[in-house]
Amino acid sequence: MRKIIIAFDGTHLSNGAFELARRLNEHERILVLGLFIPEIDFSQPTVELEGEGIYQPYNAYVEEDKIDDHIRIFENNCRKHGIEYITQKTRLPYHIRELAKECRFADLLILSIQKFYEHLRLGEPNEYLRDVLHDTECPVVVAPDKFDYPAHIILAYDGSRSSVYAIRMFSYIFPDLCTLPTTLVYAAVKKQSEIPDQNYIQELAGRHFSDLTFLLLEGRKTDELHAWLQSIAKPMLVTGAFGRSGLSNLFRKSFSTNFISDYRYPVFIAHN
Amino acid sequence: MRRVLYVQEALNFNPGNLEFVDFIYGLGNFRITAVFLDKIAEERNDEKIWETAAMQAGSKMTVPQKSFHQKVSEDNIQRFIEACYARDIPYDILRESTGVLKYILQESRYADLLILDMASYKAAFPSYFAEDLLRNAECPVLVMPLAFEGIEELVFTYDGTLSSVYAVKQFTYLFPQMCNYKTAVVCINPEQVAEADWNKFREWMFASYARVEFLYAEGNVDDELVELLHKRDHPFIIMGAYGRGIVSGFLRPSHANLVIQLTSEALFIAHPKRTDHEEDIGSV
Repeated sequence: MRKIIIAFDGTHLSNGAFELARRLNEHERILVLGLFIPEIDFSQPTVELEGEGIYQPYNAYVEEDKIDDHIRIFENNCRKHGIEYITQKTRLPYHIRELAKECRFADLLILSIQKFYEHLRLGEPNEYLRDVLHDTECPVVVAPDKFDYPAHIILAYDGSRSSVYAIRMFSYIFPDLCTLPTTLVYAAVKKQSEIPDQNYIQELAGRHFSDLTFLLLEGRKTDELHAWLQSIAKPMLVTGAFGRSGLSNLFRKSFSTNFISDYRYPVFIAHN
Repeated sequence: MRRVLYVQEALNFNPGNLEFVDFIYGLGNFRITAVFLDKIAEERNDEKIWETAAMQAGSKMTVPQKSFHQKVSEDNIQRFIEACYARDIPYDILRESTGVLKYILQESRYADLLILDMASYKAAFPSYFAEDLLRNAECPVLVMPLAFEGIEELVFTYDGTLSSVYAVKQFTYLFPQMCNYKTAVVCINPEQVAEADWNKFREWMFASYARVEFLYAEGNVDDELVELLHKRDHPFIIMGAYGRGIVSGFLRPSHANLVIQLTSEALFIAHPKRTDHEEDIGSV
């Protein structure tokens, strides 16, 4: 039995996040911890709370009734689908470090907190938030508010230890998604004719993913990547170190700048 | 399907090892990639090893040494192929003679598990090769037991650190079929782990394994671990806690008893790339 944490921000109850957990439960029974965080404190301890991208701690009015309603809906959904559950409403202030620590004793964290997603979507996440994502001691799915259950897996590969680790962890946590059409993308920064260690990654990924194709995007052809991404219905992106070399500049730009419209998809991040 | 590397000296193949490989294969959807190494044996240049290897492989020493080594290696690889065929184990063969460690480390990035036969290194213990491999492999490493007679129970070591939980999780993802085995969690000086962490860890263990018992001891980590592990019956030992210390302290004579005890049993070692934020617990 796997232990999954879904962190909700209290005011949104993501259908996509719950659906991921429900499907996981069909494959192998899970224990889900519904963590309701009214407001998360992104502030960096011991650093002055100024500067771009750092949030002030929040002390404003919290809609307690709305959160309690969401907890009831979540519990009803779990019971309806036969999922073992625990719910927890966090006290304020809840610091993001506490969330990272909670993950040591879980197999997956599904982050259904819009601020996380917006951070990833609207440009580079700030250094501190990025470090927190990397410190999280289990794989994380950063989920948008609404999304459909994935129908296509995109593996962002750059030959690094981190990107290979993410691919392995994804296959352990989501074995049922490994049968979907999967594209391993190497988005080269420089003009390059080969995917690094292609034979090796083919050996590994070919064992885990039954419908796998390789895609090499050369140079700075962002348009090519965008066009390709838009042709993929219901994707899920698998990546290692987010914002560092694990997700190349090309990929990050396409994720952040060109999809501000309604095009949203979950991102699986694992880093050891 | 999981990709498993089985690292073995070509000149020192022990067919008994196939019992263990067969056991691992039976646990899940694995494909074995056997890596036969030439270089380590050649470096040692020990005549007795060739003679023993020749006898084991059923070869006669009637050819010049170099081609003789080659012949024994090839005979051994053939025996491996036949044994896999007889047991219906899917396999690939890789043969490598140069840049051994670098080559295996690169392979380990693209593997789910690395099985290592340490028997041939124990004679020359401590082994720099084994130490380097355990320290730098990018996937979990499984050290083969000296003589495999089945697994009666899983023994996890736990000290509250990131490494200890990491190893437990990696083992669980690789061998979900073992969740019904009798399971012991060994912790030396348990009071050093925060109560809240104990509760979360217990919750995770009880969710993941059906028959868990917790064993505690106070005192010196080396001594108490040897004492506790010695009492276990055909254990499969999972080292996360204390594992990094074991590897980094491989060459320290004070660790000899512990390391010999550990490497006689089936031993699973995994540690994350990043180091623990926590303080080192225990004396290892």
